[in-house]
Amino acid sequence: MVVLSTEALGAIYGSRPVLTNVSLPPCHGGEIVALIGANAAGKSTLLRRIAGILPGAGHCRLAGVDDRETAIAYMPQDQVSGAALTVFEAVLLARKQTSGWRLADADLHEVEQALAALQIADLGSEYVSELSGGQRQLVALAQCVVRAPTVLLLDEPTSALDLHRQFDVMRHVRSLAKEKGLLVIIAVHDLNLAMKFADKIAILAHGTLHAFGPVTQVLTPANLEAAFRVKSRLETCSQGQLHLIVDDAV
Amino acid sequence: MTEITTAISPANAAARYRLASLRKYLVLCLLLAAALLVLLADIATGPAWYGLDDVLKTVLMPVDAQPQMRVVIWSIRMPSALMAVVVGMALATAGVQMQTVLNNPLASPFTLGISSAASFGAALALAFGLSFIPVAGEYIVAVNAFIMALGSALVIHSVGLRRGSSVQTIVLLGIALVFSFNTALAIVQYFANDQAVAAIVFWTMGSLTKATWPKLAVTLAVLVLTIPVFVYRRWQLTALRLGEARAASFGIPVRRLRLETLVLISLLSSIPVAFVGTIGFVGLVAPHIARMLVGEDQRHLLPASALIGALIMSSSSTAAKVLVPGAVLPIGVITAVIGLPIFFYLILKGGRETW
Repeated sequence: MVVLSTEALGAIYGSRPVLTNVSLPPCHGGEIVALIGANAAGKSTLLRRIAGILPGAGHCRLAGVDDRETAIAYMPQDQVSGAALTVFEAVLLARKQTSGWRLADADLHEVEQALAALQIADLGSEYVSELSGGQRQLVALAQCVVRAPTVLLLDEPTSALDLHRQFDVMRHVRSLAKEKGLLVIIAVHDLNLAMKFADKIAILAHGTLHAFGPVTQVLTPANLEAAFRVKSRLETCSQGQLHLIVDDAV
Repeated sequence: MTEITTAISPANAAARYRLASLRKYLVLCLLLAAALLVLLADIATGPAWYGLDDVLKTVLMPVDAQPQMRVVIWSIRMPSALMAVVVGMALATAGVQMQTVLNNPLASPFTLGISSAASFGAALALAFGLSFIPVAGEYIVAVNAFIMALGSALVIHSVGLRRGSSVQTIVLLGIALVFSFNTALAIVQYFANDQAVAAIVFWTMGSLTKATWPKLAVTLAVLVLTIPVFVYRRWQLTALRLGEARAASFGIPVRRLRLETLVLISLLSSIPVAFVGTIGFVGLVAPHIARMLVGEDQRHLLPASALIGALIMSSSSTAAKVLVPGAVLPIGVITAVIGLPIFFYLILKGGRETW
């Protein structure tokens, strides 16, 4: 099983430190870890540091994988560009970058499956540039899934999706985690979505790790006030589920 | 979602993809046929007009051809006709890769000042015999052009790397480079003697008349050296069009790929400039037409751009010889006349979003 932890991760843009000394405790395959925090708290930067595409201080340790490079799939926050690529081509690109001229049936099959799983198989021949923001986000997610990773890093994958699609995508991500043993680290702004689907939550504030642990232990009014400067409360609804209610900004 | 998934068919997405790929290979075959036909037409055209069948026979079986026709075709027309093809392919390839690595639809060696830089470097050699590095004979012009082109490509690259640098920044930088090198070229012309000025002016309009077999061999060698690198990097270059962050997330070394490609672009755009002068719009327009025909996948886009570049150059070369009877117009003027309306059409029509 894959185990990921970080040791004093840091990053600097220009002369401005944006991530300082972030040490995530071990996160295991099969778990969904939600990264939450205010704007510019360092969520995207932390994901980029873990993905290995941003240099900086500290280490990211990954145990239980053979090849680190192929083990991690990262979905950036920016959406797939308006290049003249069809959805099928864009997803195939993520699957296959360096080898052979001919395409193996297995590669095409994997792309088909990834598109079908996200319910965008009918968009295969459409140009990415002609899709809506939400559809592009699903294409971006398919690009990650098709690489068959063991660690999935998602930067706000549901920000452009409607409510129904948000739940569809999160359920799919959860099934990937549970059935295939993937470790999913996901940056989200919707705290109720994080609460519903995540196993653990990491709260980032001002580029540092403010809190980390199981949802009910970390998602407290005190932590949320420190991270988001809001007055909030957690209440159990008539169906017995915990919901976060934000009353006011501090 | 998994329970819904089982009910949804992948809608033969793979089969449709294979069919679309097949169509694109068909387009490539048609482009190749058109390029060969126009090449033959280019060879057949001149002060004496030959039939296409005679040209084909002379090209394929020179021993059996009439001596006079063999000399005209093999010694005079073929070097310039083939130079048109090779230069067209080189400029179009440089253009498509420049648009790819800079993620900029207006990028081309001509619009971003790389051709102007090469022109300035070449003009220094033509006017004063100045050489940036000591090399023999007529290749001073080519080496100077390459060094200046490489320098300007590196400037564009370094600005592109700066945080906050946008598509507009690169275009504005390109405009600044074009103005700077054109001004520098004007200063060179001011101080050069009349003979050198005439040579520079003629050469800045582009001409295939001075093409020779050795120059053709050098230009072809550049193409043969660079194209395989792009073919090898085809997946990485295509992925770069998805955006820097996404390409990096696929494990692509984006900075190294950009730098490597820009060096090759400098080579591809400067050597033709050094031998046939400034030829605009081929590197800008050919990739856009290719992208509309076959999409962004470099397996199709690269050959399609090169073939369309060859097609534009061969057509321009033919037109340059027939438009004014008894005279050969500068080919750079013809490519601009052909390229500009196409470029305006591409901008204004839009149609399917291809950028």
